[in-house]
Amino acid sequence: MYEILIPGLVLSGFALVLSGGLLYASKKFYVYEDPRIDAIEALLPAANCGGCGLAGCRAFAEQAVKKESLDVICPVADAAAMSAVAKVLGIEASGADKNVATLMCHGTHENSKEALEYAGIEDCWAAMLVTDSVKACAFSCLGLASCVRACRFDAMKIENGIVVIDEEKCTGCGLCVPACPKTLLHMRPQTSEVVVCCFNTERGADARKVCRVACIGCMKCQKTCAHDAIHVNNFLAAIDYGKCTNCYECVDVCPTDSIQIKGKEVYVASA
Amino acid sequence: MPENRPVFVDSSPLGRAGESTRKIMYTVSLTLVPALGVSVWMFGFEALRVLLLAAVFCVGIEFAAFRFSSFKIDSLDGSALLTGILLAMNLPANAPWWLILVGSLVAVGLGKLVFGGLGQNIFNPALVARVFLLISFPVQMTSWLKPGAVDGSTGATPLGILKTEGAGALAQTDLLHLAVGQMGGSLGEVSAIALLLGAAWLFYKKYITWEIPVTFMGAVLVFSGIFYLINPAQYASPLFHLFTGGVMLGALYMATDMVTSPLTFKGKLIFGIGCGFFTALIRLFGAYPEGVSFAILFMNAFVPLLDRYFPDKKFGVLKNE
Amino acid sequence: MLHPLKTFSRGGIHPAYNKFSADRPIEYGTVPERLLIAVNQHIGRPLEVLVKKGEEVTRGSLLAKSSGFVSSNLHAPAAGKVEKITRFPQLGGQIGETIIIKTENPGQSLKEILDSETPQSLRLDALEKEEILKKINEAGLVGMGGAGFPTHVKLSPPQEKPIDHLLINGAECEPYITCDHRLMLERSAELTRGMLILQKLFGGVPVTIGIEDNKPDAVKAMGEALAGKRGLSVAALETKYPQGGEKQLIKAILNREVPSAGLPMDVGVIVQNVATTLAVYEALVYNRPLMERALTVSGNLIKNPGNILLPIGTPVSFIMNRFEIDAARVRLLLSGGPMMGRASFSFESPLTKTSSALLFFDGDYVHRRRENPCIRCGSCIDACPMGLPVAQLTESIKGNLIAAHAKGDIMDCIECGSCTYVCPADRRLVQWMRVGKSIIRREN
Repeated sequence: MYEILIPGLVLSGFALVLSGGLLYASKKFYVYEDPRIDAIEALLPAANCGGCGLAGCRAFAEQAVKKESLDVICPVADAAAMSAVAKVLGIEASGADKNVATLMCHGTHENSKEALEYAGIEDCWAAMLVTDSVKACAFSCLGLASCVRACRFDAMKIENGIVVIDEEKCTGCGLCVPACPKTLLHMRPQTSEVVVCCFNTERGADARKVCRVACIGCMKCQKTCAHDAIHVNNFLAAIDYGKCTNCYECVDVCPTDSIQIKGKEVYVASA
Repeated sequence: MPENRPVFVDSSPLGRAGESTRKIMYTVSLTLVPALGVSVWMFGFEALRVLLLAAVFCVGIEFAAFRFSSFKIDSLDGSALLTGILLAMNLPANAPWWLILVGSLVAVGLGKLVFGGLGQNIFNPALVARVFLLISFPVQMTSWLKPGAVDGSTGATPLGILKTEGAGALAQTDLLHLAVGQMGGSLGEVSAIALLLGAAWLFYKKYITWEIPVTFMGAVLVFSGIFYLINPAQYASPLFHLFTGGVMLGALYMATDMVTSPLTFKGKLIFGIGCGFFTALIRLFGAYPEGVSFAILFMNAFVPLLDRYFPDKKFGVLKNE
Repeated sequence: MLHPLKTFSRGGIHPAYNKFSADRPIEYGTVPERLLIAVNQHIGRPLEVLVKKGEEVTRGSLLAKSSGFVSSNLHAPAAGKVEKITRFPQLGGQIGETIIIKTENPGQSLKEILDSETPQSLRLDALEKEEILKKINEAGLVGMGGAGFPTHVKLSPPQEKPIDHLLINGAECEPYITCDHRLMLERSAELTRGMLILQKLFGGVPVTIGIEDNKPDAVKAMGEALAGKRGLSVAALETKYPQGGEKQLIKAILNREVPSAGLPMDVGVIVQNVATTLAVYEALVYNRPLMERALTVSGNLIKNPGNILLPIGTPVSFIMNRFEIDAARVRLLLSGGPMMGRASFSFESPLTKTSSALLFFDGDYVHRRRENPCIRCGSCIDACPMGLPVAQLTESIKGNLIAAHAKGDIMDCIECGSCTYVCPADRRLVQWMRVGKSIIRREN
């Protein structure tokens, strides 16, 4: 009987002494932390993507509590989550639109012919060290998936030689933007549906030669737009998302189909 | 542009020496044929059975892992085959089939795939399996067929005799017999000469370098030699230690495993000396008669540190900097 | 041979040399119908284009002017009219600004042009150092071995780095390439004078030309040409790649190690390529800017490999016509050797000052197995002439976890390609090193 009792007692004694030590330490070294930090952190997406510019969700919560404001917003969390965060802080949430990543290129295998067969490392930055272009168009998406690897939300994939973005999954964190060596990924408000899918600044004839859907800088869209929302610079049209009203006039007049409608595939199908 | 077909573009260099992982793995496997031949000669059909089972199990397990996971594993790259052969060489010839299956599962699964597959494992897969089996199934792992025994009678290895009965019991042992392989032991432990023959080809192909084998064997000789000089009656001779057990197999094939050995010159030397030292230590003073596998696994754990702290001399970096 | 040949101490490989064109004399090329002259053919500041569309140019007229010290002039190799200035694919994969000239006399032989130019009498002892440098600068000379660094910059080391030895790089360790070999054989007297000019520039320091011993005829020819010249000598080197790497050459001939992150001038040495040395001679004696170069045309697709002198700006397709290469069969076009050369995708790309070879291969030569896992065999480390832990460095680059202490190592990589050449797992080690370098450069 004693054989089992003695070790039991000894171990219990140990446990008592050590837990006492822990109790003392927790009182002695206690640091007050605003409980709102934990509350906010629990509401955040916990992806630690850094899309807000801070080092993860905890850092975001700490700063929000410290400043008692939401001047930096989490691009990933949806509006409901952000208003819940604002509620914790006792302020009003600003109703910012969700941004999504957009590829400024439509150089699929059919549209821009492959100029070479790249056999090196499957990475856009690595390929850029060897050749300026994989397709005939030197501005086009390389399709080697550096952005796909940068995306933490599984919202991107390579399809037919270019990146395709799932706008439902895209949270607008913006991590893919610096991952593109061709600077082809831009953020746009999801409500803005019209996009110039081209980044080629060469003269119209040269651009047309390398890609079927290149913007040739013909100015038709600029002349058509009633809202002063589309301008051609350097033989390339660019949309001011703040002014665009989704009237689709420019889409209809574009002779090369380089202006496209995003996020409304249903509309395209029925039109 | 008037191209007919797109040309290839790749980073320099565009030429290659023509080596491949497969070539290395299958070459190493082939060089084990002489040693396996001696085993079959000594232990007969049983040895061949163990060998075939281990090879089929290892390749099969890796192939299954490839089928049922998202990993890209080339199960025919020869590394699983080599692991299977080396595992067989670490088993007694009378190992039951389930023991081989468990060993293969541990070698390929626990030894390699859990780390992320080829090239990622820290420990030599075949040795992980051997040690796992040795600890889990000590009876099956230490009943050795007597060489040339047709009746299936078993006996102890020379090292086992040394451990249990002392050096005196080995007085009549002939070193030449040991070197050729006329002794009890696992498949790969028996013939030192056949192993050296196979390894000679690897040296010629530069798949292994001299550093690890030489320092390994040298360290075994030195440390066992010191004690032999102190008391020849109690301790066996260093040459006996060199030619018995797994020192040859370990020094030539297990410790030189590319994945789990250091990359740098100094690292290799220290690794080899460490393997030899711990082998001798376990043999002379440990509870187990044989220490090669433990010594190599122990030193495997130090490989990342050795690579990190004993780098090769770089061009343009002076010693006193 | 009783005593071992000079070589660098660690690493190196022995690729198949395939120097098929070693016994083919350098032919004189002709002027093509169009010359496509890349504006930026050098390392350094971009040039300022001086000509406009429609402008007439003559041989030797300045097309683009250097815009700073580390920059290099560009001249028209033949008379003609500027047709267009546009972006065009270059040898080496980049797309760069290119001046397209429609030539006046297509088909004219370079021999005819070169014979019509007369040498000036050059009195070496009367030449001032500044004058030599000025002429080299004006002639637009760059390192013709492949790097393209402006020669006058390389020849103007700062005061605190005294130069006590000049080396001429005649190693030509790259497989296939033989143009420097032929230059050393056919023009050894002019090369010697070029070496004397360089020697004069540094106050009579010794000048040594290093030649790999797989070119015994070149060793002999240069030995005879240099006989009796004070301070000029030949060093026969072991045939081992990359013997012609600047740092390896210095180690082999002088047993000096260029410090990590350092330049040859840190150990008192300047290395010049054979073709560059000849261009120095021509710049001073003929007042001729760098307008044509000798190159090797070879590869496994070519029946008659050879060496040819062609104007800079000649398109690849012109060379393919001349050497009867079937464009449909070409699957790999290399500018430079197979170890360090760059693959190119357009058959219209033009020659530059740094194109030492054009190699044409079919699909059999192309290596396109995917990267396999590293099996830590250590071949890359054994092959690395710089003693770098290649396997670990590339793994860290791949994971984007470059340790601070590894950055210096990565920047020390000379991209010779030895590691990738021997890698059994087909890993693109050099390309990973380049990725690592670009990451580090972006950080700084």
